[in-house]
This record gives sequence, structure tokens and C-alpha cells, in this order.
Amino acid sequence: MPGPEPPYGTAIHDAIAHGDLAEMKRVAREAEVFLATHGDISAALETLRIEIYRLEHGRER
Amino acid sequence: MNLSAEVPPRYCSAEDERSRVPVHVVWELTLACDLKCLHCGSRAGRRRASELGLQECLEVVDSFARLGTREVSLIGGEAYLRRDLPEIVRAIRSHGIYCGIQTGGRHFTPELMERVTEAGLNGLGVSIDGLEPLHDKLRGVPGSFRAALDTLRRAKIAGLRTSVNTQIGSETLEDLPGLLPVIIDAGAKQWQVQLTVPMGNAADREELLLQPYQLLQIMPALAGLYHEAQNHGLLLIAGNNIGYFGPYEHLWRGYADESQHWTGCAAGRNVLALESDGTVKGCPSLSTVAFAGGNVRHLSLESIWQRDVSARATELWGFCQTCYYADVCLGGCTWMTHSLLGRSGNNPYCHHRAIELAKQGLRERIVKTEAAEPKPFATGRFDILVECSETAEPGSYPSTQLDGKLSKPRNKESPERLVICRACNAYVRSAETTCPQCGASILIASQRYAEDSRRRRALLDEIKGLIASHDR
Repeated sequence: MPGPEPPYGTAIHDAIAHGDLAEMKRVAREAEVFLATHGDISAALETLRIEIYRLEHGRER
Repeated sequence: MNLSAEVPPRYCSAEDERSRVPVHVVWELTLACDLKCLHCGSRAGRRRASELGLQECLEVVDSFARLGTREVSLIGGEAYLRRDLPEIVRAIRSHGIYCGIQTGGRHFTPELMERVTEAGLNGLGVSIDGLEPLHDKLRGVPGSFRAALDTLRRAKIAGLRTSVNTQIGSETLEDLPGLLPVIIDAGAKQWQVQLTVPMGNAADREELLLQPYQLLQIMPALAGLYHEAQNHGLLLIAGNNIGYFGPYEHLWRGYADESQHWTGCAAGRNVLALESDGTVKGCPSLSTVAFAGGNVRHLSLESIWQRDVSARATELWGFCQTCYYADVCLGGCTWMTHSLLGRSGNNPYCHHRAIELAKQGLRERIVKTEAAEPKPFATGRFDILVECSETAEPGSYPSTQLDGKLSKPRNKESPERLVICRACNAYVRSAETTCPQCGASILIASQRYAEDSRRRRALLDEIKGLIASHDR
């Protein structure tokens, strides 16, 4: 299966996180910056924060 | 193979795997070291009696290029204790190969930083094993923590890609939350963690080692750190001896790319390692006696690579023999299993295994039965004891675990691709209808996940749209 191979050595530089959670966090950061200056997406951002929490904690035992 | 600029050079393509390209080389340039690490597997300190000279090193670099290598990590000892380090870096970079150095950073002077940067060095990884008191104790030198951090910060300023490596032993866990902001503040973008392995100096000090049952604490803590680090743009990377197939496997192998999971020890398949006297192995950490594949002074690197230097277990035993993941996992990291038990194919440092035993009220503990010789990469012997989780009284494996049933044989070239159970995040075989780990319906859990995913996608689109509409 193609993919990263991290043996002992320097960590894989430029490796990035994937998946919905990584994108949601990125968009949340963008929205927080936006909110600081505008304020008309606060409801949507609050919902996004809830979804991030659910994804981060809800499916892991 | 051409990879796009966004893909790290170490990532393997299907063609790399088919053709067995040594994509990543880890090269011990010298065994000389200015630290006195209590856990050092190679017992570094003095240089080896007969280390490769500069001309021999340059010939080795030419071989890397001919073999298709895309990344070289220079390690030691301390690679910077070779005066010709900049020449070696320059030679590696002249072939367009990514070059990184892993260091303890004690004497990585500003002058040296300038010389290796000028030579084209791409990245620098600094080993930090805890907060200042623990790090200085483990590294055997007061002030080594501050020196390591200083090196890390100066590497960042010099424009290098910076990372931190941390080995996790018996005392590390409580330091990790405090270490996270230190690493973020220093500007590293990747943080690689691995478990301390009972090899060399660490085999002499079993009190430094985690017990296998402590994975039940360590793994959720690492998952929490992964998410916390991600909030700050830091990617936590699990080394190859961390796993396997517990509920966080999707984080460890693909950083949430869920198509990625552990498929067995990669040593000698797309990874090649050299010791400073020219000895070739499939992984830098493996025992020299058991895994040396030849020496570049006697045979070309290409010829040695054509021999089999892989270290993947060919036979599973003990708990691993009948494990659900046996044919895909092959007992995890050979460095850990061989160092511990003198034989690969049975790995007590496995999260799935610790979870399964805990369900039976059991846990595993290791005890040393034989000391390691005072040589680099020497291993001792340990036994695995099974005991009751609550009372620590002796126990035995569940009868179903050691009933002699062999797991299905593995397709060596193409291990089965597992899929993720959306109810518990465990990997399962694609033919499963009910998750063998949590009992959920695979189909129903997938349908719920798809609904959640659609809702999340709509929300992301809404927020992106709001931001974009304002920008217009």
C-alpha cells in the first residue's frame, strides 16, 4: 500500500494531516480570524466547533 | 518516479514498493558522540575502529543516486563530529536527494549550522526526550536540553525544516503535555515519537522501559497530543514501534488518511541503513550481528541491496500467531521484538494486544533474563509474563489465543487492505459485516458516518461561502 514510511531518523518533513478533522480545524481557524473582524458567521462557527469535538472525541474509545 | 513538490520525498509509491527502491536511507556517519544517553541502543561515544573515509562516503552517495534514493537522514553518534560533514551533505544534495540530520544538538555551533546550510542541508531533527530535568538525566549531560532547544531554534532561523524526535520510556508520559508547547514555540512542524527499545544501554537499565500494559495509558495520551498538536500546526508522527491496529491506527500511519495502516516491518524494503564502518542493514536500529547484509568495502551497495536485507518476520509465534491482524501486521516492529526476545514475530508492545488482554482481565510485563554484551546494538533477553491486571498475580493467555490455529498465510507482495469500522475506528477485513472489535454493524456505522460527513461538508461549504462572499 503506497504511503509514508517513518523509520528511525528525522521525522518526515512536509508530512501533513489528512481527513475531515484536519480540514475542519483549518476552516475553523480561518473563521475565527474572520469572526474577529466581522461577526456574521458566529452561529455556523459554533456548530463547526461542536462537530470538531464530536469527531475528535466521539468515535475513539 | 516523479513526485510532486507537495509530497514528502520519503513517501513510497506503488512502483517504489514493486521495484523495492531504497527511497529512504538512514546513515550512521560516526559512532562518536558527545552525549552519554542512558538509553542509547548503539552505545555511541567513541568512533568505530574503522569508519568510512570521505572518498568512501562519496562513493556510497553515488550508489544512493543510482539506486533511486530520494532522502538521506544522517545520524550518529553525532554526525557533526565528522569534520567532513558539509562535504557529505553537499554530495548528497548534488544528486537532488533530500538531506536531513538527526542530532542531540549539544555542540551544533552557529558556524557549523552555517556550513551545512550552505552545503544544501534541507532539514534538522533534534532529539528531545522530555522536559529539562528528565532530558538532561536521560542524555547524561547537564545543559543538554537547553543546547538542543537552542539548536532547534537556530535551525528554524536558518531556514531548515525542523522536527523533534522523542523516545518514550517509563518516565516520559507525564512530561509530554509540557513538552508540546515547548516544541510548538521552537517552530518545529513534525514531532516523531517512538518507544524506548531494550537494546544497548537501554537493555542495561530495564527501569527505563515501559511495560507493555502501559500502552493502555500511553496510546490515548498520544492521540490526545496528536489532536492538540494539530491545533497548533504541529504533526505528531508515530515511529514504527508504536501501534498496532488499536483505535488510533488511522492517526499513526496516514495522519488521518484512513487508507493507510500498518502492513509489516519496512526495513530493507524501501529503507536502507548504513553503519559508519560500511555495514549495511535494512534499518539503522537493528542488531548488527543478526541483520547485517554486507559491507560496502567488500561489495557495492547495489549488490548488497539486491540481496535480501529485509527484516520482516517470516514466522509468527505466541499471541501474534493467532491474532486477527497476524497476516497483515507480521508482529509489528522487528527492532522491538528481536531486541526483546531474540526473535521477531511476537510483539507485546501492541495496543490491540493490550486491549484484548485487558478484556480478559490480563496484562503483560517484561522481565530481563539475560544481560546485553557491551557492544553497539547488543541485545539481552527478556521474558513476557502474563498476569492479572488487578492483582498482578500470574495468569495465562485466553485458551482461544494459543489453540494452535494458524492465521491465514499472507500475500507477501500485496497485504490485504483493511477498512475502518466507523463505530470504533478499528481496522477490519473488507468482508466483515459485524466489527469483530466492537460488535457494530459495519454497514450501519458506515451509513451513519456518511450522513455525518455530508453534514460536516455542508457546514464547511457554508462557512467557506460566508468568508468568500465577504472577500468578494
